[in-house]
Order: sequence, then structure tokens, then C-alpha cells
Amino acid sequence: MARLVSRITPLLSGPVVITLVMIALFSLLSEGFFSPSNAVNIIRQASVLALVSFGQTFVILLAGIDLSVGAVMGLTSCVTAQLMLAGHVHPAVAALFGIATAAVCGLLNGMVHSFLGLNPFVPTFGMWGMALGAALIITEERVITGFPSSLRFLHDGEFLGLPAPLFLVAAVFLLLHLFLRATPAGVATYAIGGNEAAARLSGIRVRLHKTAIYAFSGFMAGIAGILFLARSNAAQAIDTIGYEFDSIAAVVVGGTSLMGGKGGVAQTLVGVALIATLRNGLNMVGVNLYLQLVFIGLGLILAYVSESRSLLPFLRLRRAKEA
Amino acid sequence: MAEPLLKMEGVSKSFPGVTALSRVDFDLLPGEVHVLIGENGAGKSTLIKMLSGVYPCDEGRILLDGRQVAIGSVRAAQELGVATIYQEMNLIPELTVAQNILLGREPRKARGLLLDAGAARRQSAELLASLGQHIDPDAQVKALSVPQQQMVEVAKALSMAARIVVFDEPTDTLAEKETEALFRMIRLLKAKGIGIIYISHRLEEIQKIGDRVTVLRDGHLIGTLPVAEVRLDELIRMMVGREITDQFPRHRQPRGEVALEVKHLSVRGALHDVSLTVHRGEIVGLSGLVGSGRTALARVLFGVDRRDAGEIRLFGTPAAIDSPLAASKLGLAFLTEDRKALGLFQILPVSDNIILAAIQRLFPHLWIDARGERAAAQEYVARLRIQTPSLSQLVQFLSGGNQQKVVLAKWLATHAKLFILDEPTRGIDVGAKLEIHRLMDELVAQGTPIVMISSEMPEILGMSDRIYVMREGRMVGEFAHHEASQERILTCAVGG
Repeated sequence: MARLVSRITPLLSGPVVITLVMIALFSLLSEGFFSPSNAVNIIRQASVLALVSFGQTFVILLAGIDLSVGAVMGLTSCVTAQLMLAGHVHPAVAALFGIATAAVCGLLNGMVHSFLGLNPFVPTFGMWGMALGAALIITEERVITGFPSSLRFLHDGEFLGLPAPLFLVAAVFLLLHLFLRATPAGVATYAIGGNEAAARLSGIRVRLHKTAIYAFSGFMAGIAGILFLARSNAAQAIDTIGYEFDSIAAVVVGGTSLMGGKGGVAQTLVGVALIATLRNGLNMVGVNLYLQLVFIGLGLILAYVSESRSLLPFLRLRRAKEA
Repeated sequence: MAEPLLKMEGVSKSFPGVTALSRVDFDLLPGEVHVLIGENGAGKSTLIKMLSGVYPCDEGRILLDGRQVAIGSVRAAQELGVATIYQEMNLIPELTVAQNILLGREPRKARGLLLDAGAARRQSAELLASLGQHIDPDAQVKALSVPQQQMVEVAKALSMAARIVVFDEPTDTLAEKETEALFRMIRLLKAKGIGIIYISHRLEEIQKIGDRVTVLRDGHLIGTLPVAEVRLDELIRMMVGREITDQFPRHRQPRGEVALEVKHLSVRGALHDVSLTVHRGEIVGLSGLVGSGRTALARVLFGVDRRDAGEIRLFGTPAAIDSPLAASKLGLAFLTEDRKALGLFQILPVSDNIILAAIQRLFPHLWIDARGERAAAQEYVARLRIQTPSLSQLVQFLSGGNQQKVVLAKWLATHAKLFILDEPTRGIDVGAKLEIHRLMDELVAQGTPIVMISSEMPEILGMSDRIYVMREGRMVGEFAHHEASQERILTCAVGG
């Protein structure tokens, strides 16, 4: 029993506790919140965020950042939609093409960052604009609808009584978790984030590795974009804008350090649960979408402060002034 | 005799495990250049840092103009008129000369609401002119040469009404002509009655610029003498005069085949026509002052920096070393001087740190099994007696000696065939030092030669089979261990 407790306690980190408290709170405030149907709902909503946040996690583990993911998701869904409707391409092929587009966006981010030595903010922010612009051009600024129903199964389908996206997220999560924990490339990711100069001196191909990780983040944004398309059943360039914000928030709130080298996809899964619960709960209670953004922003800052303990010197300074 | 500007009486400072300074007395007269010398680690910088408010002293007192003062912060030191000019300058490259000189104390106009750029320019130009300098106050600092930047630092010190100016190895980065200009400026400062503390490795400078000289060794005051009465060889003896105890367990090996051969290696601005040979069974010591090119050589050998000319042969074949990865594939290992910045992954566990460089050898199948990783790491933890509560302990929580052992373990795990060790025992306690020396002896006995850079004379003399001495990017001497002595090496290193 004591052993069980000691195994569970470390899992009860800040974000886990906050999520549990929120679930309790929203259950009291809203009748429909604590129900199986709403749980399934939350899972479906969370799965898009989870996929894009996994990619973001890898980038942040390298002490980088990928601001392009929201726009790249939009580009993916618009490319896929146009291929299906205007090009009459099979949905699966169209989706693969869309994902490949996203991966290329990520690859470009990575190459510009690693080989030109630019701060990742620059290429990924630039890519945000380029991907958004390209998506608007492809769709002629319209909302595109009327897809084959096979696409919707990805999001709406059920398997063994559980929502289909849950299986996708679980499989991806397990693969990535093992990758980070048990492969040389996974260890190298932490090493580069922990100390890039030392990693290079230890014989790690730092630039190649970083490029691959940004390409992977683009790839994950692509998959998330397809799932988003399946959910909304409509493609619009600006619909996914904001996922860069939510994904960074999920990664950081979960406990992966913006300084790199610390964290992982398990932490991100918790961060995603927290943000998805918060969004869903606020919805159920009737808080509008814009106020939700305010809450998430505030939560992000508080979580980061509590992680980095940067609050301490601030308090100390105040005390010194009072004295 | 004039009243001393500064008196430090019986000052002491210790850090965990080391006494950096033990009851040292030091004083400075107005208009005097007092030179402070000693080997690396003798306590020079500690003394200066206490004076400039970086560290508090544990014991002893500091008097300015005969009054005891407490120097609690860098700012306090500045307000008391103590300015320190470090090697790494404290200027902001993007700002102009005038902005840097008057930073935080800019002249104002319009009741203090606006900056008075004209007045700032005038004041800066006046200060620089009083130092015999004609530097444009509107020039950006990053566009200035190193000696010009030094002048700006001094002007900044004068603008804060400094009465004591400390120069920390100011000529290390200067050419001869620039050194002359610096000395002229120092004489101008002397004429103003400012007291100058001058730290240098270059003994020949002492006679040119110094009035008195103080020698420190191992944190103790060895003596303070007027420069006019002191000879160079006497100073060297005062600096190094230390018994070599049995810290250096060496079993001399017969010299084997040539392992590493470097011919005519050059790197623009760092190395000039450097050649050396390392045999199996040897520890080759690289001696020389800080900045003499030892680390630059090591970095080129390991592929961190590119070479402009020259040849490297490893075990008889030409080695194309263009990256650390290529070097480690060829069987080289490089323990860097700065273990925190370049060696360790502070926020990763001990086990990851140990396996990182050897990951391809240990796990060729793209898969790390946790048990295999633990077993590999445990082997080195045991062999090097790394004291850690567990393999998953983060490296940042280990002591300096154990951290250094972790970096060594990282390279041992690669089964490297030649080790380059840059300051392998810097800043670690005597016990860990001895263990690392034992390990080096073992490695050599097993046929793995070592190139060791060290600024500690006893270590160089005690561990090396052969010693190369570098100065200003060149090889200037080679000694077999039986013909080497502290005096001969130091004389060679300072160019005496």
C-alpha cells in the first residue's frame, strides 16, 4: 500500500491536481459536465490539440518554438479539401498529400533555423504568415464543404464503444513516449535541449537532428489538420489559427521546460487534458469563447511561473524593499 | 611615505573544499602601480573580486584612506572609487562610446526630462582626451578595436571618479605596440594620483610598468617587494616554490609506436605552424599561459574548429577530422576545460550523461533497453567511484569532482584510443584529483596515450612523460620529463 502511494504521489503534479479540481468544480457548476457523453466530447476535442502539441513538445524540448503549427494545420486541411473536391482525388491520397505539405513546411522551418542559425521565432513566425496566405489563396478565402463521408469516420467513428480519435492519439503517444525514452535519437533530443554545445562535442549531429524535429512538428500539425477537417467537415484557412497558442500552452502547462531538455509527451498529455477540460467546462458553464482565451493565457503564465519559480526572486525583492 | 589609498589586512576567503585566500595583506599607494602575480589558482582574482565587491571577505578588513569600509556589492565598490577592468569588457557593443562612458549617469536637460546628448559627447571627449585618446564619442563600441575599448573602460572609470583602477591581465589580448599605448595611459593615470593594481602573467612587463610587486601562491602572501630590487628568476621561484608530493602516481611505460602526429598546423589568429608527436605509452603535457593556444590546438584536433593548414595523422593514417563526430569515430576523446558549458548535461541524469557519446557503440540497433543503459552506466560509476545516490540523479546535484568523473566516464565509454584532457583536475578536491591521476596512469598502461593540458605546474611535471610549451600560438619548447623543471618551463612560457 505504501509503495502504491509512493508510486502515485509523484504523478499528482500541479497540472494533474488542477485538472482534477477543475473536473470537480465544473461538475458542481454544470449538470451536463460529469457525464459519459461529455467525456467522449472532451476526448474528441482534445485529440486534435494532443496531436499538434506532441510535435510542439519535441520542438520545445530542443529549447525551440514552433509558431507556425496553427497556420500549417489550416494549409493542410485546405490542400486536402481542394484535392478531394476540385481534383477528385481519393480522400486517403488527398490527406497524405496534405500531411506531406505540412511536413515540408516544418522541414523548411528546421533548415532555416539550424543551417542559417536563426532564432526559431523568425522562420516559424514567417512560415505562419506564408502558410496562412497560401491557404487563403488555395481556397479563394471561401469555406469549403461537401466531403465524402469516409473522412468523417476519423473523428466521429467509434471502436469498441470508444471514440476513434482516442485510439489514434493513444497509438501516437505510445510511439513517441518510447521514442523519447528508449532510442538514441530520443536521448539526443534531451541532450541537445540540455546543452547544445556539449551535445555537438559528444558527437551528436545537432543540426540534422534539429531539422528533423521541426519537420516532425510540421508532420504532426498535418495529422492534426486532417483530424480537424474530419471534425469540422469544412475547410477554412483561418479556422485553425490559435492552435499555435493552445499547443504551446498545453506543452508548458504540462511541465515541459521552455529552456529545453526537460519534459516529455506524458507531461503534454496532462497539459492537453487540462486545457481541453478548461475549454469544455467554461463552455458548459456558459463563458464565452473570448473570455476562455483570457483564462488560458492567465493559466499559461501562472503555470510557467510556478514551474520556473521565478516568483521567488520577485517576492524576495519586494521584501527587501519593504525592509 | 604617502598615506596608503588602500589597505587590505589579513583577508581570507574560502569556498567549499578550498581555501582561496588565507590571511593576505595588501596595500596600494596613490600614484603607484602595484603588480600582482601568481600561478593560476594562486588567489589573485579572488583578492580582486573581494575588492571589487563580487565576493565578501570571510575574515580581515579593507581600509580606504585609513577608514574601514564594507564593500557589499559591485555598485558599492564603484561608489567607493574602485574600478575594475576585466579581460571580458563590460561595455555594451551596440551603444556609442559616450553612452557607454556615462551609462546610468547621463547628463540631462529640460529639468531632467531629456538626455543632453551634446553634454554627454563633450564630457566623454574631455575624459578621453585627458587619457591622450582621440576616439569619436559617437562611434559604436563594437566598431572599436580591443585597445580602444580598454580606453573607453578607463574613461568610464574616470567618469565615476575612480581612485583605484584594477587591470586584470590587460595585455593578454594586445599586440606590442598597443601595450606601449596602454602603458603610456597608465602613466597618465599615475600622474593623476590614481592607484593601480596590475595583474599580469607577463613577467617582463613588471619592470616596465610596476613600482612594487606582490607574489601570491596557493592563497598565501609570499612577499611584496619594490620592483627595482627584484630579479626575474627570483620572482619565478617565489611563484612556483612548492614541493611536489605524491599526488602523481606514474608508472613510466616504454614508448610505443606513434599514435598522433601533427605537422605544421595553423589556424588564422590562433595557431602558427604547430607540430607535435604523441606515442603509445605516453602522457604528453601541454604547458603555457592561458591563451597561449593550448585549448585552440585541442579544439582543432577534435574537429571543433577548422584548421587552415597542416596535417594530422592518427596511428599512421591521415585523419580527416572536420567535426567532433568524425573525431570521436576515429577514436578521439576530448575532455573540455569548461565542463559546465561544454561537457555536462546538467539537467540530465548521471546515466544519460555517461552513455551519450557512446550511444552508437552501446546501442547499435536504434533501441536503448533500460537495463542495458543502467548496466553500462553502473560499470563506470563503479570503476571511477562516482559518488551519486543513484544513476537517475541529475548531474547538476553532484560535486565538482564527481561531475568531472562523469565527463571522463562519458569518454571512457566510447572506448577511445587517444584522450585529449584539457585541465582534467581544475577546481576539484585533492582526493578526486588523485583518483583521476590514477585513472590516467591506468589508461596509458593499457596503451591509450593522453594529451594533457594543464595550467598547474606540479601536475604537468608530475604526470607528463614529455612536455611541450606553447606561447602565442606557437610551440616554443619541448622537454623530456627528466629534463623539465618549473623554472625552465615558465621561462619558456613567458618568453624570458
